[in-house]
Amino acid sequence: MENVQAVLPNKGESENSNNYMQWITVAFLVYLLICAVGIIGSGFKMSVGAHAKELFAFASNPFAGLVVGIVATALIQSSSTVTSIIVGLVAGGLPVELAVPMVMGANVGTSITNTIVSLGHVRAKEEFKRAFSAATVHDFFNLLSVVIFLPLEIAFGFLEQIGGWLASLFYGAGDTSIKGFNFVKAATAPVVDSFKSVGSSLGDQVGGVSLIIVGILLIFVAITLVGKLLKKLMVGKAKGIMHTAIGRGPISGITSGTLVTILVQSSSTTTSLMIPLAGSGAFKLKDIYPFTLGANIGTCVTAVLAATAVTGNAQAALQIAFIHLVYNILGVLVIYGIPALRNLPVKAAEALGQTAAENKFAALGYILGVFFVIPAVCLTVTSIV
Amino acid sequence: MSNLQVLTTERLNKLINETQVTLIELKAEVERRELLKQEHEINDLDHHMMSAELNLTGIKNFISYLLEQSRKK
Repeated sequence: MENVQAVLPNKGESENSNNYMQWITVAFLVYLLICAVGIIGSGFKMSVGAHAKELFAFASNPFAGLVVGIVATALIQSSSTVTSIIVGLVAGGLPVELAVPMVMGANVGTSITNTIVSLGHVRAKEEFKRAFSAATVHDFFNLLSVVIFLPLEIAFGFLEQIGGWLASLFYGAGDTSIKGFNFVKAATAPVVDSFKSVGSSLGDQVGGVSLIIVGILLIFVAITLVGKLLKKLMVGKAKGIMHTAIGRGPISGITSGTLVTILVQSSSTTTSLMIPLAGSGAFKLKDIYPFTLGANIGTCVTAVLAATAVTGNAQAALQIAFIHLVYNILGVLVIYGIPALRNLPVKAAEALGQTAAENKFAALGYILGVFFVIPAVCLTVTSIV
Repeated sequence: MSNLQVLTTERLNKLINETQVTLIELKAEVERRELLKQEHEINDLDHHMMSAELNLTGIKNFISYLLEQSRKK
């Protein structure tokens, strides 16, 4: 028996080496994500050149940009993917002012995921009511955020200004180079340049579009796999964070939601995790709500990370990443901070949950209507007008 | 408590205070049980992460439930 034990690896050691390999894979996938954003930027610049504004003329109507963000994110099921793509496009020349409503739309579109997860509770009426309310509180918060901030942004451009100021801290006013050596950019340059040279050989248009498609696929793969790995690796830490947050009030809930989302790199994971917890009845809607808001903030880290190593208009890319972050922080401060606004998403979610529990077709109608039909109709009307 | 009118004011005030203390204790116990339930659910986080994953099975179950309901009508 002693000889067998000497031959067989210690279970703890094999678990450690497995974890080690998984962390290396995570690091590689993050590297791939950053490269992919650079590839998109290069592809966009190659195919569009100086005509980005004309190409995206339809999105000069901010409402159209918002709808594009909603539908793209609802289809891809990942706001991190869409915002990373937007960062890459901005680096390639997409004007920031056109990207801002798209980023707001990505926030709305991502809330479809936990709403669909809640449908799994459909066979138990009370459980479904709780789960659906917990899911749709996120939807209503993000919609309210758009209703408040999009008109203000159109009128004053304040998010663009704040994002620009924050980006200038890293790049310096009027100077597009980061002071000092950019290690991340240097590390990703060989991969991005290799793809660029392959793309160039196909011609500007075909090569540029091919690079964009390859970049989008790589981002999607990287974010999906990172999400799966981090879920496994970080579940213990996530438990610890949530345990410390129990019974400590909304600020603790928001903070823990932010931290868990940063750990798993996915707001959809965090908000979807709340659904079975709400469905079981252990967590009330008022407990879920702050955690969901924290997820909105935590997910912004991905876009900031993606903006660190883009080539092209790097300062603008960082600007849109910071706009995403500031928009979500302000949303929480304003809507949750102002008592008159704070409970609006909760009341709306409770009413919708009650309705959906009585008539499940209402749930289906809500999902199709809010995330697909209404945006599609609006986009059609916008393109005609 | 039909004999309230025969109780002295001091006795009534004492009863009020005792009831308030009992109410506080009851609320604390309910809150303790709710927090304990939340802790148990968080301990089960691995299981919840699996059930929180978006998959076609959940969507199919929902659609088949809707079809069942529409056939009943």
